[in-house]
Amino acid sequence: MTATSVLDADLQRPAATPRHASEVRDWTRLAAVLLARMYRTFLLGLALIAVAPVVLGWGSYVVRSGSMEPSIQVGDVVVAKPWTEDQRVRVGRVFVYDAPAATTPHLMVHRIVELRDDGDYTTAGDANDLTDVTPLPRSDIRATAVLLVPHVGLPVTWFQTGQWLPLAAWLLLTAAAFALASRRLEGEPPRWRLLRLVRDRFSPRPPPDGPSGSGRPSGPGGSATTTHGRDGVRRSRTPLLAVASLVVVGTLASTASAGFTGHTRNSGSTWTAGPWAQPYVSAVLADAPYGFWLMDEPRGATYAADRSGNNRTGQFYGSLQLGTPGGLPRNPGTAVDNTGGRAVLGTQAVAAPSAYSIELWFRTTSTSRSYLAGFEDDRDASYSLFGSEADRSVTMESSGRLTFGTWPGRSTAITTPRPYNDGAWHHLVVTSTAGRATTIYVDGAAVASGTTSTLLSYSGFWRVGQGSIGWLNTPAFNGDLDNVAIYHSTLPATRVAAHWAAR
Amino acid sequence: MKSPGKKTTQVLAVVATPLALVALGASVYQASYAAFTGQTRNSGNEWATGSVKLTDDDNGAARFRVANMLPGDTQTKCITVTADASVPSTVKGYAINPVTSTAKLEDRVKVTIESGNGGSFADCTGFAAVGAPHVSDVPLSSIAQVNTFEAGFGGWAVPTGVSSKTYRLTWRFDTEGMTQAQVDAMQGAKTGIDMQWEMQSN
Repeated sequence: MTATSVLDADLQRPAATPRHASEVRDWTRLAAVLLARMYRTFLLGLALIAVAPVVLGWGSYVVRSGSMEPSIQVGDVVVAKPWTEDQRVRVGRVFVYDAPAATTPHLMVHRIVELRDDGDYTTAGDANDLTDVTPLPRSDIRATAVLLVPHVGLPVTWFQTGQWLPLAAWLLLTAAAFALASRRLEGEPPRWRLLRLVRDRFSPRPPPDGPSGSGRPSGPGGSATTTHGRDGVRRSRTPLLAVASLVVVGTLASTASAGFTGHTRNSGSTWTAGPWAQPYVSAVLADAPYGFWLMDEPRGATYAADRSGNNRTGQFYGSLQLGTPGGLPRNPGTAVDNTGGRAVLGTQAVAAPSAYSIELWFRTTSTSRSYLAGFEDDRDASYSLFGSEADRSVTMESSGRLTFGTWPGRSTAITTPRPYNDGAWHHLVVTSTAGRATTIYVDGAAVASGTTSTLLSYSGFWRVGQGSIGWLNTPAFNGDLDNVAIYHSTLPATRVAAHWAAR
Repeated sequence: MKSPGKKTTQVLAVVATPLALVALGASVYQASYAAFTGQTRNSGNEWATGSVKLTDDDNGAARFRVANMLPGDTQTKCITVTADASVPSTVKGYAINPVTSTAKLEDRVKVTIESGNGGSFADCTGFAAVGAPHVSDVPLSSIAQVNTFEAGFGGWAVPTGVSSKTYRLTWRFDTEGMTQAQVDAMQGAKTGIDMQWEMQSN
């Protein structure tokens, strides 16, 4: 041989190509089998690590979503040790917990990033911009993540999310790899002795390790056919079984999600109620008026609301206009501009009081005699000599001075020394006792007082703007009126001053 | 080149399995170490492929700052919420941090929330509502009960990508059916609430 080696080599050269091809095939085959075996070992090992802790009472959780990326990917299996109340919660570690405030209970895998002042924890996904909104109470913590087994849960996530294509591809590849891995390499002792014994007993075919036991023959053709035939039997058994059991184990594994969250907030919306009870209104209401009409109704209104709480709704009649600028500087509101109309205060006739007070605000430049306020037995604008009663009226003379005590058939009156038809707002209060001792206050101060005309006793209505002061004498007030209050009592001077001060 | 000899094959076959086991151990260890020993989260510049972001156009300003509110007052404003999602998600709105008042002002501020297109925080012009209002004339105190994502209103299904939606908020101070004394007792009362929109991946 040695002598002819050169010659042999020369002779063999033309045949080198097929020979070389078979060597490459042999190496490829060896590499493929070994790789398949490594894959098998790797996969079974991962599965074992992922599933075995369950025997210890630990939990394995397949991660369903990716908010913990890059450290935990979708399809990784988190092996977690059960957490009990007596254990420490280390901020910064990853925990498995019941998602707080969830209607459909599910487990979450997130990192605990903060211990809050109230004893709860703040959690966050590593890939989330913001921390989770709902705090995690201690009692919802289920387990401490201990081991992370990469990727092995992917088939489970594929299965659960219905990604059949990757699942099928993986199953095929794995089955093929397992089949390849179980090929026996040259020089290896036959395995599965028991199985083989049984097979040999019942199978009519020759024992398979006959040809291969004598080593790999140099002729490639023979070896290929033998191994193929032998593998055909194995492929249908163990690899598929192994894969099937993996799938079963996989579907049994519980899953935990690491969902993405984000939030945005609009903070600090506040509503603060204003002080709508005006100081003047409060001052008047403190004296328990019979009725209090702010005259703040909008233009076109026909009824005047009673602010006193006594529901004596007034009604507007005749020529007047609501919604004109009000009379009080610190008490926003509108006034009524009266030209020929009136407001009758209250829906029901009431007994005329013996002691009473009339309070209102007025503004005028009128130089004709006019009627500001008073009491009358009916609601209309006319005065009939027979069967009509009207008194308790305050009027303005053509000079602009204010008079009280002039009503049909009576003339014991008091009159203010100066006129008030100067175009400015004035605060008028007339108080009268049961003994007819009357005082006229203008702008908070008493300006006239004395005994006034006798009164009749009847039922009627308080009114402003227009009324009867004598036979066929029913003048209207030409100017603005605001904030009318009537009291069935005599207001003391201090209260009048207080009302004025609260204007 | 020679075909793998018997010896080589045996050696390789024997070495393959321990090698795989070492790789297995290393990968599990590495993954566990990376995931479970770190004490802090990402600093924010290496977000993973999937992430969601929700923003609004308020620039930190409160939507309503109502002072000197009087009975019958009403106001309508808008806020636009923008979702940037790499995975399909759901956005819901809810209330947090309610401020209560002893006068129960929060029972009397009634809110309507609609959503649609157009309009912005600065100006509601162009807003067109889509669908029925999420809440209609509901007191703030009831809205304060809706304080979790699960209970939240809206259920806006956000597809992958950037999308936005405008919410129109209307309030009115309703004192109907109250006595004057009850209404007056509300003077100076203050109530408040924060609105929060949350996005969760499906």
